[in-house]
Formats: sequence, C-alpha cells, structure tokens
Amino acid sequence: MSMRTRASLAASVSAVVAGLVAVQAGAADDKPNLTGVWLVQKPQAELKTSDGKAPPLKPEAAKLYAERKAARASGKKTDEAHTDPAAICLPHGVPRLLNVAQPIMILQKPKQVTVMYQANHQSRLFYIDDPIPTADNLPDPNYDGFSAAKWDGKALVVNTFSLNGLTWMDDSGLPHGEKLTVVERYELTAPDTLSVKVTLTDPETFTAPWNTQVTYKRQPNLRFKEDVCAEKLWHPPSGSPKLGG
Amino acid sequence: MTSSDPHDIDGVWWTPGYDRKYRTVEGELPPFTERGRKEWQHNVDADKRGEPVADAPTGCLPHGIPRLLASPYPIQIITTPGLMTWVHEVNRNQRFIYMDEKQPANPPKTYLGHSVGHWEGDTLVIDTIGLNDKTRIDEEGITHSDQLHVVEHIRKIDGGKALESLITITDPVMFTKPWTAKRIYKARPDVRLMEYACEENNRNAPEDGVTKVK
Repeated sequence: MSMRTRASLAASVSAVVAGLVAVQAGAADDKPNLTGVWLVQKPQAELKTSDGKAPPLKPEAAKLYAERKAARASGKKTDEAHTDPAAICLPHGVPRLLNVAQPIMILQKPKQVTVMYQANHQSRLFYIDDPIPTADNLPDPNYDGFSAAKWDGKALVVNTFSLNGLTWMDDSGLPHGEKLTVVERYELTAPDTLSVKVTLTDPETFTAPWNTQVTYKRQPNLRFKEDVCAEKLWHPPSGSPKLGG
Repeated sequence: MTSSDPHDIDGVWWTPGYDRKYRTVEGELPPFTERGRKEWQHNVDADKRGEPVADAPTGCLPHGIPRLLASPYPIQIITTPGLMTWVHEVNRNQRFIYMDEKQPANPPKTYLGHSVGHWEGDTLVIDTIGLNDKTRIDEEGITHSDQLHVVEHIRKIDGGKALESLITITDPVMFTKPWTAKRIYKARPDVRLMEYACEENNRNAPEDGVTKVK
C-alpha cells in the first residue's frame, strides 16, 4: 500500500470515527442522568422474586440456605460455609450489594458507569459496550465479577459474570455457584426513582432463571460517610506511638 | 489517549515504582519536632529488628492521606458536577473531593479526612483536614497527629502524559514547619482497576501490633 493510499485510508477512518463520536455524543444526551447519591428502599434481607415468592432453589441449595438461616438465628460460631462473609468484611458480592442499606453513588460517564457503595468502601466499574466474553473466555472469578454494560434505550443494562461463588446473595445466606450470571436493568421510573430489575441465572443453584426488583430513591442532600468494616476485626491503635518528649 | 484540556484529569493514573518513604522535594527528612523524630526513629528501629509496627493498612483499614498518595496501585479519577472521585485500587480506598466548597469547621476525624478542591489556573488544589491519627505519613514510619493538614497541588506535565503532585504537609505536633513532598502519576489508559479484597486471607494481618509477613 502506498503512503498516499494509507493517508487517505487514515483520513476516511478518522472521518468515520468522528461521525461515530458525534452519534455517541448526541445519543449520550438522550440518556437519563443517573449521577448522584441513591438509597435503597425496603432492602431485602431475604431475597424474593419480583412477585414476592421464594427463589426456585434446587434441593441441595435449599438445604444449605436453611442451614445458614438456622446458624444465623442461633448466633453461634460455625464453619466457613455457614459464616456470613460480609461479617468478616469480605465484599458483599453481586447481587447482595444491591440490597445493602447504605447510600450508593452513581457516576455516569459516556464510556463507563461507576457505582460507589458506602458500605465497606466498595465500588463497581461498568464499561459501556464491552463485549461479553464467551464461556471459554471468562476472566478469573472474583467477588464482584466483571461487568459489561450497554444502553438499551433509556435503560442501562449491566451483565455481570465471573462471580466467585464465595458470597451470599442476601443477608440470610442465599447460596450461588460460580456459574451465576446477573443482569441488572437500571431505569428511572420517576425523576428521583431508580428501579432495577435483576435477572439471576445459575443452573447449578436454581431450577430456572428468576427476577427480583430493587428500588432506589435519589438523595440530593446525602453525602457518603466513611464506613470502615475492618475496624470490627482489628481496631488499630494510634499511628503515633506517643513515646513522650 | 489523554485529554489536552489541562482541567480534564479523568482517567487511570499510576505512580511508577514504589517509594515507601516520604521526604522533602529536596530529598531531606522532614523538619521533625522532637516528638516527631522520636516516633519516626521508633518505627524505623522496629523495622530493623524485623518487628515492624502494624499500621492501619496492614489491618485492611484505609491508608490515610498522604500515605495513600504514594501507593503503587492505579487510581481512577472521575469528575462529575461539583465532585471529583478518586477510586484507588489498593484496598478499595475511595476519596471524594468536593469542588469549590469551603472546609467545614469541625469535620469528623476519619482515615481519609474531608477534602475540598479548586483550580488555580491549570493547577488543581486539594485541601484535606479531619484526618484521624491512626495512619502514618508513609510506610517507613513518619507519624502524624489529628492536627494534620495536607494540601496537594496537582498539574499535568509531560504533555498531559503525567500528573505532578506537590504534597504539602502541616502538623505542628510532629513538624516544626510545613514541608512538601512530590509524587508523579503516569497516565495509564491501558489499565483497568482490578478488584482488591485485602480481607481475604490477609497475609500481613497484625499480631500483637506487629506486621507479619506470611
């Protein structure tokens, strides 16, 4: 390819890119503005389906859930499988994080939407229009998984995968495995009401995919406070040893 | 690609290498008070004995300011109206800088304090007060009291490919006068922040006030 052709190709590519940027910038203006502080309404300690029913657990998972609830009610120390990971300050994981009764803050940008969670200073980074990896191409699992997001009209749709299976899905101990995928659909149903429809799929844990619902209210006057869970595990002395003198 | 707008510092930044000690821009020890020097020496001696004094981050607590600013992990800066959010990969530290506001009279003492910011020309000025005394200035062992006041002067350098931060530290309990340290952060558009779960099998968990290495 001659330099000239290369240059003209580059010019036409940048024209296309400029066009795309213009389209995206125009589209961004049509998006609802989710930026700000929000607070969950009626947080669910026991996650229910959108119509208020118990999740469709397979028998083994149902047994574990019942054991965890019993262990929690007894208040006794138990083994790892029955110990609340959030009580030892591990990340809440997804979807449990959605129902934590502390403020969240959404930071909306064209290419990325970030959700900051006051609780135990957690955050989730959603990359807009990231490809969703195939089953043989998944990143290593972790607590909050990996999230790819896209705008579907006025709804922000977040796909989360590669969750590690170590977290509980609710405060009561609803279990899940590493095959869990979570789809969240964030939509403003009123100017200050954010509704999230959550679809949960985990063939190892549930007999079928199911939906739950979380609602947030905008909190224009609320600011984050520092929430430091690890102080429960170790209360550090002053960093100044106060030796006198 | 980094923005050519000097006021647009959104993106991922990462300090190259790791310098665990804070020194003045001239490379000197800070102007210690007698107490400040004694406490620093105590911590340095404990390190030499192989019994480093545990500080907040070893127990998965926030690093404090300015210790967080030296951390060798990426930072993502996100600007929204009236606010600048710094998401630090290390231990999920989250910093909120309220823009063009006055400091409150008596903010509660916290690990990361209360920060306000404004632009002076092409320099971002971040003022932080309300810091508790549970953290240290640096990993080596410079200590501070809850009277600590930190001012960062941050500007783009190297054609926008890096940020220079001049960090001025004032604490009448530990230092005889204000002093200034420097850190550089490189633009890293190729980097995404990863999850950080310090609490999972913390191999440096403190035992009897000593940081263990396992």
